[in-house]
Amino acid sequence: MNSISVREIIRDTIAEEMRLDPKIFLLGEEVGEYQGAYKVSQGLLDEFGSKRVVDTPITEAGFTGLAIGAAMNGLRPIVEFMTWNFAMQAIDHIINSAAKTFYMSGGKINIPIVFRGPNGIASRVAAQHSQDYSSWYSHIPGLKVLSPYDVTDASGLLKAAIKDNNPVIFLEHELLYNEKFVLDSKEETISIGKAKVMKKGSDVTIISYSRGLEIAIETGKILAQENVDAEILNLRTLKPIDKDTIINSVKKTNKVVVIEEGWSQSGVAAEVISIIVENVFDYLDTEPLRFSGKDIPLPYAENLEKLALPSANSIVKKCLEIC
Amino acid sequence: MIDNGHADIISKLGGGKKLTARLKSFTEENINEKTVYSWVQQGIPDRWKIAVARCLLEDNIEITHYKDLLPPGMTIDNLTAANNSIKIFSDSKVLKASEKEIISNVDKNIVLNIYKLMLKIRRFEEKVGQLYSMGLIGGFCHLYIGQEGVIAGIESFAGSEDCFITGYRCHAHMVSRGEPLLNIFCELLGKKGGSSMAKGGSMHLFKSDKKFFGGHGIVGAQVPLGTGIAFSNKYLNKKAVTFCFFGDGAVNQGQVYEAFNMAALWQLPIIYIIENNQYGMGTSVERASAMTELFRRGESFGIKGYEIDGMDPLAVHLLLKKIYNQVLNEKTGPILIEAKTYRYRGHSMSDPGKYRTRQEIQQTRENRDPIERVKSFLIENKIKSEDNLKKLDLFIKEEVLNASEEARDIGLPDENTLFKDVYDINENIK
Ligand SMILES: Cc1ncc(C[n+]2csc(CCOP(=O)(O)OP(=O)(O)O)c2C)c(N)n1
Ligand SMILES: [Mg+2]
Repeated sequence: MNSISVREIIRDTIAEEMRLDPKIFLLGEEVGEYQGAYKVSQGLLDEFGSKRVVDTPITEAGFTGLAIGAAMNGLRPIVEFMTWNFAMQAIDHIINSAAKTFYMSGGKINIPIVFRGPNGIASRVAAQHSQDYSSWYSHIPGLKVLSPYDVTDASGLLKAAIKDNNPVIFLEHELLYNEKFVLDSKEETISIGKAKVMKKGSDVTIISYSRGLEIAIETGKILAQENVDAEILNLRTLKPIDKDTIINSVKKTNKVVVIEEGWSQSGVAAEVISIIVENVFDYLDTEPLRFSGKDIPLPYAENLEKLALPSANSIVKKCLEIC
Repeated sequence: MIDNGHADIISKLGGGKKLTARLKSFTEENINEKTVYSWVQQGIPDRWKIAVARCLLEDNIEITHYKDLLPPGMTIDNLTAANNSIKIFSDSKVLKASEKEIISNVDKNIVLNIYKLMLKIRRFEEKVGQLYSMGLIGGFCHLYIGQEGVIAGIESFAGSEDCFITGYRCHAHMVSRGEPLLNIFCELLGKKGGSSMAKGGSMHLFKSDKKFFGGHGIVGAQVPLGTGIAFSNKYLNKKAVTFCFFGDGAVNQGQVYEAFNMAALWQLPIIYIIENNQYGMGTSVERASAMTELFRRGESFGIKGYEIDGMDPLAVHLLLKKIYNQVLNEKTGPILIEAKTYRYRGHSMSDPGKYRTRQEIQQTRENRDPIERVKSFLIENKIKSEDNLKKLDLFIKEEVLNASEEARDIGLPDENTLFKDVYDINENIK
């Protein structure tokens, strides 16, 4: 089987959906002529023209509001944020205009829109350009939040996002764009709200999402050498979160470790652990563990940056203590 | 369609004479008939294409046949918007300084200092570019090469109480405010002794003792921040002007106009400087801004704007010093400056640069380079000999090299600084 990069599969999926529905258009900074700041939209301008691949000025609040307005009136925009850090300029529209309108209008006005772009920790770009917004958006009723890891996730979830009639937050990861995977054709579409068991195991459940899964998989491999059989769970959707899959896995392994790049307070791991404690407290053999980004703005220096993020080695050490 | 020359366009527009007059009135630039006639054979050069396209548009000539007049990606909608908006009357204007005025009004020592500072910035940035290519600097790195004339012209009259703030393209501002090169290199290399403790890197440089408030990564953010700095100066009755720098791309952020309104409403002592280097990343001004005379962007708030040639630091000095004194002493309130400039390198080190031609960069370097401009001034006016200037360059190169070598030998920051400075643990002393 041929492998393909996450970057390419996102582009291919957007193109595939755009061919099916003329109401879908892509807009954002440098998506057209420049072919995307991270080259995700490479070739789309050539195929679809400047009517459907729209270069915007640097004006996130404005073009996000505009796209939501267009969605209110029948179009299906895909908004690319150069990175999610810059969506902070537009977060008011995402929450106040996109997430709440369907409810506030008593179901009269829906907002079929996808907000996408690279999220999370990039490399050596310091605090303002490196942050995980997963918990921010998954806090908000009215939004769906997707967090793909590999190409199967990216393609299946993006299709689901584009077809969905609600505002969907699609959190890509810059450091995964170049990663190549084989596309699993059995999962051509993926339901929003379903987690995936990446590897079955019986001794401990390791839960993560997005690039956190790289660490989870590596941790699982090291643990296997120590005869610990970890089950690895990919959340895929952060909102609505798949409680059942989490619960069923913990019932089996009785131990849980959650890994996230984001900060711990009020974070995704905090949510996952609350679900476990509320539902299957009695099944736990030991306290749940979480590994998050350190509680500091991300530093620039190479050694400090590394220390600020969870690493497989430190996780393995803790896992061996509980297993 | 046209092959080489643009004879048919010129004749459609009523001939070379008529066109010359029109272009003059559009651009306030001196252009003579001979030049325009030469386009019949040689074609219209890039820098005049948009102006000619505007003439076609105004005369209702079917412009779709002449799409090669527009920069890549620029649509006829974009051109129409620019054309409509330029017609609105304006108090703001293009300022020029003649060579005669410069010679009789700019002190020789100032010219020399401007030259030294620009050279220091250029050599520093060249070294940074090398270190980046060697993989010693991480993340994003935006060089200032080509734009030196703007900061050097301003630094030549700014006082130590005056405040500065800019975006991520901030190495030059740091050099200009007098930070030792070693500390900046250490920051860029992520070493102990970096000016931000190696926490911020290339985009987040600060120098609080000289009132340089950074180094901000979010496009446009520095504009309200700078406005707040000016607010505090007024509040505290400090006699100081704030220089707030931002790009031609940043001018389209909404917060810029929220800030303009407050600055005008409260008559804050601030000079906004748009460093128009013609591109925001890969997007040219024409493709991003409906109204491309950026110096007029404050008009609806009553903020006067002036365009100046940022590639001529001596003109920057002469023209802005006057305005600066007005803002400082006559409390004129905010002023907007558009400094026309150019960056020779990519947006950041990872920019493939396909949105402009090599020729465009080459021509700017050859004809408008701010360092060459002052160098010839120094030689022509016999302030320094060519030999003298060569020695100066060698001296600066050595200074830069030594600082960079020293920084490379320094170690990484201590790991126990990881949690330091999340909060200020000192108490407020009244
Ligand atoms: C809010 C926000 N949006 C997008 C970006 C990404 N970005 C960084 S620089 C830049 C271009 C800015 O161009 P300009 O204002 O002309 O400044 P220049 O780089 O030319 O100095 C963009 C889009 C950002 N840093 N912040
Ligand atoms: Mg620019």
